[in-house]
Amino acid sequence: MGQEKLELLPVRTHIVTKKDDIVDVIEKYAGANIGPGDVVSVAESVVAITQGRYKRPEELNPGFWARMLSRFIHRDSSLSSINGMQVTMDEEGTFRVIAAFIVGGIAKVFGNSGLFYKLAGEQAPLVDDVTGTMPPFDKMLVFGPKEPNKVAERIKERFGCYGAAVADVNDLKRAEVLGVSEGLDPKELARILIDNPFGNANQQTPIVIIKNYAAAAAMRG
Amino acid sequence: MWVLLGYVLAVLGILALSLALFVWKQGDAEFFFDVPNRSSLILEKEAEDSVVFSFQLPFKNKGSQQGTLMDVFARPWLPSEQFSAAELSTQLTIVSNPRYDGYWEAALFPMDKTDNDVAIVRLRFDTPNGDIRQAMKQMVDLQLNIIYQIVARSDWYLEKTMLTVPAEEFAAALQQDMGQK
Repeated sequence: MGQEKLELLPVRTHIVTKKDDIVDVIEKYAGANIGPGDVVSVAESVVAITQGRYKRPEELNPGFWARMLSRFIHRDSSLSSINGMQVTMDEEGTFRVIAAFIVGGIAKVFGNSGLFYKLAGEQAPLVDDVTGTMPPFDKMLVFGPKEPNKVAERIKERFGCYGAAVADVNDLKRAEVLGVSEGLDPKELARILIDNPFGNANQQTPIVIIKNYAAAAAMRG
Repeated sequence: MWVLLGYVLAVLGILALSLALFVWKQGDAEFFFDVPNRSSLILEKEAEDSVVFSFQLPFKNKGSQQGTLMDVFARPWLPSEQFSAAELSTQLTIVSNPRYDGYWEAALFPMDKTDNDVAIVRLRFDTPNGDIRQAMKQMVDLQLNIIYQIVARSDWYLEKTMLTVPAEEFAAALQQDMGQK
């Protein structure tokens, strides 16, 4: 057991929608492969989609502040569109986002970048603008998932595995674990997932089983 | 008191003006479909009762901000009063990410791109009488609208570019294919 290597096993699924329950999806496609020493990780955008957390730009009514503030956000950010900014304001509160913008702007002048995203609320860095997700969600703004820790606990409970995680990983070597079941270290998992085993959206592998995690963790001490 | 209020209003006015200038200078995405440089029509597929033509249409974002083409489609104006020998349906896709399901995958296009992207417009004619070549002899000039939905720095909006595919071009594409056979 101690000699078993950590292995990342991406799992292909159908196009998940809000009619799906993420735990049922995992059971259907990966249930047979999940062992007691494994950790099941699932892509945050897919969890959000199963929670119905997406909107079309046509459904939004961007206000004055979203129009103003989005103009000052770097064009590569989802919040540079009035829609992305409005969604963040709807989720986190307009006042909070404006305050974060002012404080973040002052901090940036003094060389501290990125504070805006930390202060504007957990949804600010998680909102995916249109084109951020695969069809048919390429025409939607997809938010971050709600209660990712609870989702992870549900997965662990259903499969009796070592643990579960909800992760935000991309090809730019950026990995963040948004939610974990009790006892797991999000930073350690983020390091394991850094090479984006979920692949790109068109590969349709939103689930990754981290095989032998418990054994590897025991070896690490 | 009134002087102070005047100063406050002046500062607010200058701020508003600066903001307006900033927004104006920042600009937005602006898509351009290059109709004069579209390719000639070619015959892609032919069966007894159907035929598929296509042409390529260069386009680019010539604005000052990157922008997303959320949807692009070709809308023909071909009333049965003018042509009823076959039924026309269209598909539109892009050379760099071709699809064959009629679905336009939303894509982000950078600004100031010197080289064009290229759309592929497919025109499929189906005839109920089973002789597509006979049906296409009645073809007239086709008015085609390329309609596109843009999401960029401002509210989403729709635009359209109109073009005409002359009847002679359909005939030439069919003739050319005959020549190759």
